[in-house]
Amino acid sequence: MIHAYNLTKRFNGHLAVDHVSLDISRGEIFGLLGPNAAGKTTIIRMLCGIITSDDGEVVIGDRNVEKAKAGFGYVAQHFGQYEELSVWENIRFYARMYRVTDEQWLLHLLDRYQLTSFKEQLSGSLSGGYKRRLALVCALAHDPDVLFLDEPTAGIDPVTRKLLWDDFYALSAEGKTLFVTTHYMEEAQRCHKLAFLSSGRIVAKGSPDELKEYLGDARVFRAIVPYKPELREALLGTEGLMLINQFGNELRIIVAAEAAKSHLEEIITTVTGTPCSLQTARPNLEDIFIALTREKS
Amino acid sequence: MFKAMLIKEVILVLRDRHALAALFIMPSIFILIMSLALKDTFSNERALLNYAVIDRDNTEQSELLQKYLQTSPVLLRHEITETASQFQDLGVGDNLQFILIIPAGFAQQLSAVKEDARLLRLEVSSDVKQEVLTIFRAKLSTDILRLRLGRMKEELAPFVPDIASRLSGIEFTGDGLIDVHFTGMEANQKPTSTQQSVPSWIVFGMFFVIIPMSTIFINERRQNTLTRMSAMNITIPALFAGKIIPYLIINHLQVWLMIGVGVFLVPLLGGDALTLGHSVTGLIMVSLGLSLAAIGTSVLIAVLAETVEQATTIGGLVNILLGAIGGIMVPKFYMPKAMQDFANISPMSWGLEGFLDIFLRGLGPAAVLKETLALAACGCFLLLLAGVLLSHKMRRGV
Repeated sequence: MIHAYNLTKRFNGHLAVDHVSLDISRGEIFGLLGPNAAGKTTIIRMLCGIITSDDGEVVIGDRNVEKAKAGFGYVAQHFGQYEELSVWENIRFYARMYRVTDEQWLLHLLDRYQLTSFKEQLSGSLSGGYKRRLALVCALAHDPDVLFLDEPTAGIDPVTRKLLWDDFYALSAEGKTLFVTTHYMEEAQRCHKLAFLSSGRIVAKGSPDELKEYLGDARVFRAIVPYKPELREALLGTEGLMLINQFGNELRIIVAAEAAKSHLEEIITTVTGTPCSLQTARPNLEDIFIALTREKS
Repeated sequence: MFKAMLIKEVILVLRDRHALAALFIMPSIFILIMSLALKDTFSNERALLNYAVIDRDNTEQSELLQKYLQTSPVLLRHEITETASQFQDLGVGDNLQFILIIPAGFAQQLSAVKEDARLLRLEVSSDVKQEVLTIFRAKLSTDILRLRLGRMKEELAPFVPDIASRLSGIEFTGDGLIDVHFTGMEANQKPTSTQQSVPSWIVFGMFFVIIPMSTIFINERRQNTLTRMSAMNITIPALFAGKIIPYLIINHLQVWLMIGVGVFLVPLLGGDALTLGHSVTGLIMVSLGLSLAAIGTSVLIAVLAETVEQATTIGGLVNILLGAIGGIMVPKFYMPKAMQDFANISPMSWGLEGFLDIFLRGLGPAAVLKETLALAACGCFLLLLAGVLLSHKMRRGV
């Protein structure tokens, strides 16, 4: 449904997007995961034809992006609404821009996203969660086949986030293709397919399970150990060490296959003064993402 | 699509109360204030020269001279004491410009025509302009000639009995001898401060579209609505057209509102009513040209500025500078020649000249065609420049 070949973009000589290629199927929720300034917004803007790429091509359906514009919706990172217009005026504006005049359909969208009671309220006075819903309604006003969502759940509470993701699944089930950028790992986990972006380059892509294979023979260990800066210093010299990651009292260590588990346990025991026994764990997306981005960069 | 953009723009402007005040109320107030404040400047009933007389001759001739001076509506006599014959002797706050001293023996010297005779002495305040001094001296010279002619008639009467009736047509009554007609006006019409003020402040007010237009445009960038529209098939010309048309309408509403203020409101407050010229077509032509120039300037500033604060500051400065240069704040006829030539660089000056052609000079479309085309060309050029810059910015994702 969405095909990007070798997208490249430079800003003032700086390579912001480096030969990115993507293939996204119909009905798929595709997540582009990356830290801030990795190039996510630049890529989504190139996919939407908002900015032109220096190199490469975007095809949506079987049309180039300029011709495909009428067939997709876009939710910008900062809502993309007129704050001085009411909720209904915003929806009608975007609908009219796509020559949609069916008010019943718009009222249905308003109802679906629980915005009916805010219909006459200025959009600038809505809470962040309702602004997101309104942005989604505006993007869906012309019932597009493809939705581009630039960090659609940034800055909103977990309940609203879950509601939005439930809706994304519903839209996906209706056959719509969703392209989502995010820097939330738990959000990435919800996507059908993912690409990890680091410094403008795709470092890995596939389903969440496929991505977990990216670690190859590397092993993940975990132990309950409180944070100690000197422990980190002591572990850094270990041969084959790929990642040290602390989650509260949980320490996660990713090491190459040849690294000795006993050697790690010995260091931890020495530094903490408490006998340590490392357990083997399944890698999560964050382990993989951090390991891959460090390795590639 | 286009209709949606028009509706959106109109709603946004209507919701911006400050912008509405800047567009409609501020220029109307300017018209009221300036029409009333400058009312006397354009009135020939107003005293422009303040003088006092010290008469040391105290003859019938010296009194007659004083009487002649008092017949002029532009001269206002002040009474001073005999000792205050120098300006430094006068109290602070006196606005005297001239003290005329009629020396003893004035009446005798009047008859004895000598080339180097000095009949009168004039003390002149050091801040009096040369042209004002020239006017006062001319008036005195005329009155002395009048006195001499009177004396001559008396002296010749025994020899030429009908001299009085033969010379009766030679009088120095001033205004009656010359029929003054202001170009483009009816025989009984004369320029008024309202005729000057309304065109000036219409031009100035029209350029205030910079504020709402740039505010809305920058908010569109800030709120990412412009980005959203880029993800549709909206071209930059379509985007600009969606802004140009509402502001063309707003500018025309401003023109007619301010004309209404000049025609109806100013006379209610004691000012002179604005009289319309003879050409509505000409008026619409100038308004259209000016509107395009104002919108072009506004769009360019909106594209260049990064924040609303920048746009309103730059926009306000540009407006005031163009107004000051273009003869809005100070009428061009008050300026020296070099400044008048310099004023022609300001599009506000072209628009003002166009409106003055219509309101003041009573001219028609042919007379304002040049100004209209210049303004329209200026507006189109600025829009083109803004389009190129915006396209460049959008390609860079700014």
